[in-house]
Amino acid sequence: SLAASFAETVVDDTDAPGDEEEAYAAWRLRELARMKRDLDQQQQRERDQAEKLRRSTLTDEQILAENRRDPELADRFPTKPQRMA
Amino acid sequence: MVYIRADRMDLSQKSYHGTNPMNLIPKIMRERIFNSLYWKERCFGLNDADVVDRAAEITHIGGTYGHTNTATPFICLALKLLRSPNRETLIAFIDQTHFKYLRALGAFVFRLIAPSADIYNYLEPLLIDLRKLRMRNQEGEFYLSFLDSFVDELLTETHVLGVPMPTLVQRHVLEAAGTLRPRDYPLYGEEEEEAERASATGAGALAQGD
Repeated sequence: SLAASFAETVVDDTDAPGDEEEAYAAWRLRELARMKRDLDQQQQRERDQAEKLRRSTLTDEQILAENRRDPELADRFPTKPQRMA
Repeated sequence: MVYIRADRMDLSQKSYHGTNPMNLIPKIMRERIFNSLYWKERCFGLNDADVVDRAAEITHIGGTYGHTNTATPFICLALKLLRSPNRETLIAFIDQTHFKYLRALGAFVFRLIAPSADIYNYLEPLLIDLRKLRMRNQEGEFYLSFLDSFVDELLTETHVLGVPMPTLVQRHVLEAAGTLRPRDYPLYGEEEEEAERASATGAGALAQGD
């Protein structure tokens, strides 16, 4: 159809037999970027877990003091809500 | 009088994610598909085998585009498959390598209806498929993408082609529960420095296409 032939003129999606090396090189970069993203996320999770464990050993006063120093910490590692007395 | 047209919603269908599978495509987009010429002309009474023929003809991947929200054939066929999704058929679409757009179509629909562990098991192998895809964005512009990029979008994005993706349980959670083996990266032997260089030059972002 007309629309289909228009699409073909705008972007070429043929996987030509001569382009294999170029296509592989481009894919390799994409795959490495994905791999790095996954690794980074995993390392971040591990760091967060370690930090959570460390904070669980602190007293309430120490946690409050840390939160005052770095308010972002309070959001990232929320403490258990206190029960009303 | 209220009546249901046979070609529209199959109400006897078992539900996926707590709803009729066709509802996984949002209402406004669904209405645009039902009103599109392609749906009325080419999608009436198709069975799964006919969908193969149609998918072999399609030239690009997209949702709806333009200020009229015109539906692309791709999303029409996806909705058609969602009318009575068949797991084995979708897996066959994903496993075949001859038609790249059929593969993408199968992956898209499979992502919408399959359980999380299956999604990782069946879609991650497609990340080594480096073939080019012609994509159409919401403005109607065409751009170049790749099958692996499209599948990566399916695995990581909350919306693909304007369709909200059902929640996917994170990989590490399934790994911890023992349902999933850790992914083996085909390039695992390569040095990490190279990965860093790849992301530093923005090659990954460029290759995403848009």
